[in-house]
Amino acid sequence: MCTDDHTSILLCGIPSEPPLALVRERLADLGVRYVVMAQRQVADADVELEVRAGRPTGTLSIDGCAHPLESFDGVYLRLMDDAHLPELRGEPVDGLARVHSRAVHELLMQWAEITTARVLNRPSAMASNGSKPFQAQLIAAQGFRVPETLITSEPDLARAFIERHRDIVYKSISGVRSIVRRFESLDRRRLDHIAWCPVQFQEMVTGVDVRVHTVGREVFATAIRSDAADYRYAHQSTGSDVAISPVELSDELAERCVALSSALGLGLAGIDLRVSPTGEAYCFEVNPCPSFSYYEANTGQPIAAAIARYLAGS
Amino acid sequence: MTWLVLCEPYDAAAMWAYRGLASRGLEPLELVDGGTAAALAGRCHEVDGYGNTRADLVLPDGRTIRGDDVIGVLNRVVSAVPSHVVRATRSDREYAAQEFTALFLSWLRALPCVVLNPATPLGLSGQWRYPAEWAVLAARAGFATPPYRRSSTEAVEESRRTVGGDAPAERTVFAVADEVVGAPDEGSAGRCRELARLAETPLLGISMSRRAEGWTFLAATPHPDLSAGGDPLLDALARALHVHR
Repeated sequence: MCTDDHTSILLCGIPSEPPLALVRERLADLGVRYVVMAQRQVADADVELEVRAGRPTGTLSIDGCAHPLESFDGVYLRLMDDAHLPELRGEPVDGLARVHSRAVHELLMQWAEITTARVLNRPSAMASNGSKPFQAQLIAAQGFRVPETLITSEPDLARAFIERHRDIVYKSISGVRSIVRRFESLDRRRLDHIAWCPVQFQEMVTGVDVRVHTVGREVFATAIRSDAADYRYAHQSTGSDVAISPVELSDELAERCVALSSALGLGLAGIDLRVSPTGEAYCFEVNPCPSFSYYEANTGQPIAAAIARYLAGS
Repeated sequence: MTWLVLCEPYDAAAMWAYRGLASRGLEPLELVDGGTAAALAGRCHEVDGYGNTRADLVLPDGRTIRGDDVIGVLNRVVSAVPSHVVRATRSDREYAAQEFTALFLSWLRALPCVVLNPATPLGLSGQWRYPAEWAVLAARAGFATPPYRRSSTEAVEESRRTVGGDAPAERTVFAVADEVVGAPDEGSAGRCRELARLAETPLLGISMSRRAEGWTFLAATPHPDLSAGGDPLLDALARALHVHR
């Protein structure tokens, strides 16, 4: 067993996944040392965690090399749900490989929550977008407009809301099955089904979609033009393409985005805005683990480089 | 004007608190389980363009509790999934459970009154934390803490053991808003108050044991057995639910 106690950055996830791969490349460009905890090789990893007088220490062992946890001064987490790792397919719930994987992930999460290192992002900070209306209240508290929203299991209330706003979208309340759909005439026939489980209806806000990535105090804004209610699924839903390009935010709006991310405890965030024709910024949600690589690949905006600098503390 | 006790149907400590609070004059006091609260909140939950919310509850008997009329909430909810959801197919059941949980979280946040404890994305009646987090927070609050050590070579259940491990709790202390109930001394009371503040958990149960160096932290929970606090805890809860608007 070797020991590597050099100061470095810890990258956790699937190394070939674009966001992680890009950050790794930019760290290499900076000449910053990094260690990759490849999630799919979790069988070769172990974690020891100790807290003494409030100070966390321990080791992360990967492929026979032990890294003191205190040697990591930056951490980038891009972990998938370890229950769905391909390497564990067919493994029973109490199988040794699955139990070991869970233990490694759980201890890593415990450590990520308490370490003094710069973490993108701490697990607890990533939880707020599990409830969109909950997060909307936090977003509005930072001075953003949010779409008028009705969550209801009463078809008559839904009908009244639809009559009032005319143009409506609907989506899940939680982060599950989270696709935004425009309410259309065919949906009226299904409206009575909401009695079983409430649905979130929102006024349709017109304007230009802007994805804002904040990395610490750095801001990268990207305008997206699309015919679809949810541009992420434009090709499937309307067959149309999206056009994306860098855009400059006003200083005030950029500052508000930074303040929002900070209020949510997120060093890295993907903020979904729609800027109305009158210039008002509506915020739909904040993604705590954004797949920024899509935007970087299409615009050249150096988001990964900003993340690498943040992790390196430079 | 009303108060709410939100809890699971099997939560004996919450039932005990409900009776104790009612006897201390918190009337009307409604007892609602988490699944029912989520289902009722799901009838109409509105957020306007500025984040203002409407969080009314229409009770099964037809009465409406306006969100603005709720004075205080004792919240012990662990699950906010209505009973009818169990009849769905597995994938729909899981989806609906997430939806009702997300709704409950938003609804409770929308109530403009004191809530002990506020719902969080990591725990519907206060944030659940790993023992390692409690060990760090407790030390930061000034507690002596035993060393906490875990390894991935142990079973996951081991990694969830409390900071104090198998050591028996000799004292359970309750932080309730700004008050502390059951503390053995002023110093411990201050540390408990500080721990609740750091944990952003206004109702917190803290277990301690006496060692040579003094009272030592063992564990903390946002979901303590309230009945262990007796009448002094009920008095403190009643004051907190009255005062902190």
